[in-house]
Amino acid sequence: MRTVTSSLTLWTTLCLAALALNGCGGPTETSGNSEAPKTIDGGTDAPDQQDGAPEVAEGGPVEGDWIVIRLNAEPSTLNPHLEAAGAYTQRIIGGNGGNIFETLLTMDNETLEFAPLIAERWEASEDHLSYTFYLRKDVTFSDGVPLTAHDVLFTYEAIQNPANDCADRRSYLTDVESAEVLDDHTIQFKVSKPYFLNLQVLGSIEILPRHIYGEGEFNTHPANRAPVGSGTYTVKQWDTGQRIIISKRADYWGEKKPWVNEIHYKIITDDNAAVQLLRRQELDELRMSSEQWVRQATKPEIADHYQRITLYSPVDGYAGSFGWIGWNAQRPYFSDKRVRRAMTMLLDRDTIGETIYHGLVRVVTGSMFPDSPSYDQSIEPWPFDPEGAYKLLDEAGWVDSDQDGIRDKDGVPFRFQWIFPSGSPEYEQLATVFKEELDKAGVDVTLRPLEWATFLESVTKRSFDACSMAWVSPYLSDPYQIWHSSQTEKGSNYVSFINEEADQLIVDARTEFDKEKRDAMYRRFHAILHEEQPYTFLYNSKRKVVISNRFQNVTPYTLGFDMREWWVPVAEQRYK
Amino acid sequence: MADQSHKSQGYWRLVWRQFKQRKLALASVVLLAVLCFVGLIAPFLAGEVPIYLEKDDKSYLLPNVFSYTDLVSFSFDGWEPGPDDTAIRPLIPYAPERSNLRHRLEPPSAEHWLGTDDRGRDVMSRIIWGTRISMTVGVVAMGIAVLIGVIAGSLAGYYGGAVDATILRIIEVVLCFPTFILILSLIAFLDPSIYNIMIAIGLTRWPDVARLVRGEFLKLRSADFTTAARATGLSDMRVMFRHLLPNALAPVLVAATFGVAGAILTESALSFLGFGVPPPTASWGEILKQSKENVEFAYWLVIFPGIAIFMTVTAFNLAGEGLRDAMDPRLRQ
Amino acid sequence: MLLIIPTFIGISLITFIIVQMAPGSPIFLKLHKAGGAGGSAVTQEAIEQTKKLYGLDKPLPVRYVLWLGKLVTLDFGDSYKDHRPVLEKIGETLPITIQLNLTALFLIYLIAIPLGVYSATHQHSLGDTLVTLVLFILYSLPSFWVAMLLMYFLCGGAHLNLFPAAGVSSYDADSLGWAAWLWDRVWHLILPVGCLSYAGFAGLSRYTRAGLIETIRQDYVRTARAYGFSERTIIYRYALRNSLIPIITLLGALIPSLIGGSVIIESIFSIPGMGKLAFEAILSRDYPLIMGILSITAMLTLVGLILSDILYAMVDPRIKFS
Repeated sequence: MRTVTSSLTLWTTLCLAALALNGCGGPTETSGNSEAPKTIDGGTDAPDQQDGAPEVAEGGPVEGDWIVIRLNAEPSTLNPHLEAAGAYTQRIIGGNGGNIFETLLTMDNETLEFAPLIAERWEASEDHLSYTFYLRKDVTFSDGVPLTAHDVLFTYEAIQNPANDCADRRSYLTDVESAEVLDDHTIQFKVSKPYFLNLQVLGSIEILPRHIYGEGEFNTHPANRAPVGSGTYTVKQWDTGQRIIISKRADYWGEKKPWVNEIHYKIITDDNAAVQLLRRQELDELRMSSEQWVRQATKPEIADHYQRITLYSPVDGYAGSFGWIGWNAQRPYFSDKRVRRAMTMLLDRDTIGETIYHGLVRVVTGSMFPDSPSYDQSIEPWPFDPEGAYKLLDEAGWVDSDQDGIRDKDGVPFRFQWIFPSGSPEYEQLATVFKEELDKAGVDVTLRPLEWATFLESVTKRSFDACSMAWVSPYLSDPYQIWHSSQTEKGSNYVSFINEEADQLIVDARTEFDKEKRDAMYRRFHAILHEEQPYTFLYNSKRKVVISNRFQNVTPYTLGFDMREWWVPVAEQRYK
Repeated sequence: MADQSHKSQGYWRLVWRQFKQRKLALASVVLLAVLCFVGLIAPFLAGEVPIYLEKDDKSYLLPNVFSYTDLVSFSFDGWEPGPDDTAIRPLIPYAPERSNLRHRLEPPSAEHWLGTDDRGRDVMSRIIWGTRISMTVGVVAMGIAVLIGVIAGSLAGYYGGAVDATILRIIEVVLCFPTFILILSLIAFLDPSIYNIMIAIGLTRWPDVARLVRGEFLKLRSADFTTAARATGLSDMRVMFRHLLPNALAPVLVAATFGVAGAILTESALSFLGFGVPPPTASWGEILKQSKENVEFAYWLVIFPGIAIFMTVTAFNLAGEGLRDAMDPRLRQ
Repeated sequence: MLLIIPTFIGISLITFIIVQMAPGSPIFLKLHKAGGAGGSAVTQEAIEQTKKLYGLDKPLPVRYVLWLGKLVTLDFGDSYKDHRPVLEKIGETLPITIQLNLTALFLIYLIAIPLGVYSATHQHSLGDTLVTLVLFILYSLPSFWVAMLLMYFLCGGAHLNLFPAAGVSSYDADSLGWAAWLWDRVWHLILPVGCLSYAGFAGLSRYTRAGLIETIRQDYVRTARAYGFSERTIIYRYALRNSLIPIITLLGALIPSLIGGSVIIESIFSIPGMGKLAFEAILSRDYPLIMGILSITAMLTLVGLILSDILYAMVDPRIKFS
């Protein structure tokens, strides 16, 4: 799992923090709004109904036109392996198909199974300790040079080289012992222990060209801004701070080629400016906040020209995300699960979801993607029940013994600080509403919205009482990083969740290659999480996006959009 | 010395006579006085806690100001007096921090005079309470600046020589910084608290004051009464702060008045960028911040806090301008 | 001139201290993106490796001396974020910020001085009061607020569609002729420049007014009057010229406040200038970049201050005698 707010600039953070917490489109479609928002529900339930979608044009797909997309901030690099790479880097170089760089394997849009891309087939040994990839022989980089197993090895070694600024990517590969080129089109990786995600880890490395990166300093290589990859597009132009343009490769080697000639990524920092551009139809795609979605996207100047789509995939390539409030179990008040549960019961998630998020979110009870079999659908969220919560707090010994309005126990008053990343209006709204409920319960909370870098340091050093952020989850995910007791010191188990049974389940699942058995383990683990409430789980929210009516065949999949499928009828093409 | 302070009193009387003739400036001072008063009596103007309460056969005087043990764990959220209770409530019966999600972003109405914000809080109540915060931020920030500036300026002007040169260099250093970026860095790196905002603004605004004080001191240093004071064996400190400083205060007062206006604007800009007072505290900048997301459909969140800010800042500036005119003998007609 | 050196050292020292003492190290920011797949979290080793890569393992004073040493050769180091030289990043953005600020500066002088002259010559008249009031009201309107409203009402959508809402040039700007290109640029900069400059009118026009009133009372103006020159000639030929001299000195002092103001305006109008760069650098703890920006603007200001001092000495004959 990756943190949602993972990227480096504030704008990324803001955008993504908002994205994870302000989903839209869901069970309660209207919120007292007479104009029910018309949406395409791209969740897994009903991906087919499209409102405001263009009439299907005659004839088959044709080439041409551009897509103009807004970026909230400029990516610092287009080298996906550098630390500096963030969500925007990924957006430009990746996409579902791999705009610039490609990986050995891809995931099928429909079946969500691994599918060939650069590798035409792959083998895993019986003991799950060695993986062999057989590459296609016709793969070329955009400069015409063929892609071979040597490039794969080169990329692997570049990531493992401590001199290169890739510590983050390197940490994914700690279990990989060696890589060996068997012949020009075959490469074999050996891993130290079996792990069900190893295939995904190895299959999702973006392959860099050895003949370009072989010379020069990796971290500052000019190709980091003018990359050469094997993907469907190449970078045509980068006007610093303004736009990045990628254009279609004429000589693309693969079968699934995109129809759209160019993708323009326009850097627009201000949300209101972006909406204005949308109204002037100078943007073809825009992601919106829940408030914008309900109040602006429904107006004719937008609704008449754009398809409005909601889907649970927060960014292309990921299935879902969820926001949470984590209770630091090392603090006297949160070490008791009754107190943590009381906290959850004091938060009116349903009302907040209906009002602040306009009903376009769903409450989650565990960390797995709600539509996956690893998630136990039968678990009901703890209800909003202040009276019940007061009783739990009393039971746990937190009573107001000195009559000062604040509960206390053993002389410790129930006074804590709650940190969350600043800049997300939805978070702040939720926080202030929660604070009122806590005040009534005799719990004193100080809200501390922290600027992202400061926030991360506090979280990493465990110097917080309660903290909030969001995780985005890939389709296949492993709870080890967030929940295993070994991760309490330095890993992502910030809240020091320690539970023996959970530890055992997590570890066993890592070597369980039978998906159904693994899912069963995860569902049991989910039940433990629910019981223990190390987090107050918030919402799995939808991405709300408008896409110009010109584009045909826009399908929201579980893992997001596949822009290679989009096309524009000749008559409607706007850009040459 | 007595003569000196006597002259000083006469001087201020003169200034006041001049000042009175400037209608705009006078009106501004009245407005500022009203705002200060509003800030001061905020608990009586807006809030959910009654001013006077009789409940369960007990009576409470001013529970909105004093805390009563009986009421400590009682919430007035949505509370209505029962048949046996008596309650005199503030004019606007909504606490500035009390949200009501079912009434988000409602336009001005009889119930909510200036509408509600993005979590259903009463905007009128928030603006009244925000007066407190915004004025305090402005005045305290400028107070810090004046304190530093007066000390640095006095030292530089009184001692001259190396002390003067050093302080001038420091002033130059601070003046060279793009102020807003400096404040932003300070706030971003410190905690986002109201105190840090005041300190950061204060730390960047003192050089103007220091230069003014230094200039006045240079003029006064060689004046007869200074020499006389020194000759009587008074300590440097005493001469500086008892005898020289009062004479240098006039320009400082003008600079401070302008400075408060600037500080209020800076606070609102910081809030806009998300570095303002932490929630749920109300400040004008904080209310205005919401207009960023809601500019198109909630004019009341854009207009009212905007008016509060610009009226106050204009008033401070006009008052400062009037004061400057009144004190400047050359501008007198 | 030698006084620049201690000033500059002071500037760099302050910047260095503020930035380095701040919580939220860039290391955490970078390594936090993933906890790593396969459950391995951010390892201590990874932190150490990255620290070493950035030279953050050395003690503070050493880092400062190293930085200052490089500075002498105009090497501001590389940005933590994307490893590009700080100077290159500033070089890309500074011209745009300078365009923006010089235009704003020009506009401020162009509008504020005549208004100041008017106020001075019509002292205490209704016109004077009105000008004062309007200028102070302008000064009191927060620029972000005005920018937001202008964008909403003038940049398309439900209202007037007069100006672009983002950026400094149209997507096809490169293919335009120079005249069309220039117009395109001007068209993009009108709103940002307006927002950046209107607050400056008040200060400068008050300054002009005060200066002019003082000059009018001086002996040589009285002499000129006595000689029977027309009031107009006296004001514009003699008094204004002399009272304008101190206004020159304001030039240097306006630079830092304008650049500070660009932070918000550039962010709202998506202008790739140095203000926006500074804001992003602060948020991502890009120490070398923040220090580069702060020291370069400070140096610019310093140069501006010195230039205006020289100009002052050149224009004002009195300085030579004193």
